[in-house]
Amino acid sequence: MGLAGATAALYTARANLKTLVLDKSMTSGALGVAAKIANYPGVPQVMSGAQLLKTMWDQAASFGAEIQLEQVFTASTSREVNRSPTSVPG
Amino acid sequence: MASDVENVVILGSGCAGLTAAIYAARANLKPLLVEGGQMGGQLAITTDVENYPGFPEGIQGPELMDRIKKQAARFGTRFVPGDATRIDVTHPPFTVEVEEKSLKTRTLIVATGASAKFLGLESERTLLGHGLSACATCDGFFFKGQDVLVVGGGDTAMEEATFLTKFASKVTVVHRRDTLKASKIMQDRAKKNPKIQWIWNSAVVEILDPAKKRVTGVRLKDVKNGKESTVACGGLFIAIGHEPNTGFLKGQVELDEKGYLVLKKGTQTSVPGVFGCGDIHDVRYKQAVSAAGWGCMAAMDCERYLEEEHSPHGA
Repeated sequence: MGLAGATAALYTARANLKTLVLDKSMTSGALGVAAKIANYPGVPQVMSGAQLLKTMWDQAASFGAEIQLEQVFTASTSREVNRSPTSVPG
Repeated sequence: MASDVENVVILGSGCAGLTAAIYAARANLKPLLVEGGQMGGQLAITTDVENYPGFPEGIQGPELMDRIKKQAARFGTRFVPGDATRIDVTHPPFTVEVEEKSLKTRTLIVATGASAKFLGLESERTLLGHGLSACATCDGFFFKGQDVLVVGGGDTAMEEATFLTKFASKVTVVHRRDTLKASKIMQDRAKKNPKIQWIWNSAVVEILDPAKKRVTGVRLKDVKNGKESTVACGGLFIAIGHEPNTGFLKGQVELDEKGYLVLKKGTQTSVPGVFGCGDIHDVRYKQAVSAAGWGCMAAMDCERYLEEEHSPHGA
């Protein structure tokens, strides 16, 4: 749920790709727990990392990215789509 | 070292240069930024920006750049108008000539970008951002359900046309010749796409309609028989390439065969103490957010270089 994931989701959703984002919480990334951000370009007012991240997730969601709060434990890159990887909700 | 020698001079005021300035200023380096001919870079001539993270409602390009500039200023960046016309980085301190002024600096961050090539028509100035674009990734989304034209015959044109079929109802590629310069795989992909049509041997001689301040079509000229025709469209994408703004760097730092700045190990150029970031080296992504990211990296590399230069065991 960091800036990299949010930006990737924004770009893929805006390129018309069906996009699903999974993470255990909205504040699991480094930015989410930062109290004050002053060096993100374009945001001259000081805001909390969680606030800034929320704007980014809203933006990705506005183009259709779907966000689910789930913790991912394993992932399989096998092409057999039916053999879904074991995932335990976080 | 004399007090008139700067710690760092940043060339360019787009996303890369201004972000480098924010980071350098916050690291107490008191950067001096040379704005270049167009304050704010390419985004200063862009209208709606929807893909810069942090703005769910979107933002106008000039407003975004104004905000980033204010942020850089707030932490102590100083700004100098004008273009860098010549640099000398053969020995420290480096020299940068900005019009009549000569600046001395210990390090240099070059972020003068690349310019999209346009056709050279007067109407392009009026219509850019109003149906005319040079970036499908940036603006394709605005053309849902419309007919759009793509001008060009290289890989960029094929990529832009293919990408635009996700949004547009029909994409027509207009090319001056009857063969494409694009690689075979890109050509094949575009030619197999049922939404892409082709107009060969034709040049755009005018874009309609500057009076309405939006793109409604183009006037084409058949280069074989000279006949002119009008084709209606809601959007026009110019995809004839980019040109890096590196003329003033020739002979000073390594450039590739197309004139782009060569970087290694992050943002280092061939000369220690000279760093580069943004579209000046980036032929692949060319996004505001990626340029900003590189600007941050260049400032961090620069800061580390200055620290090592100071330390007795340093480089």
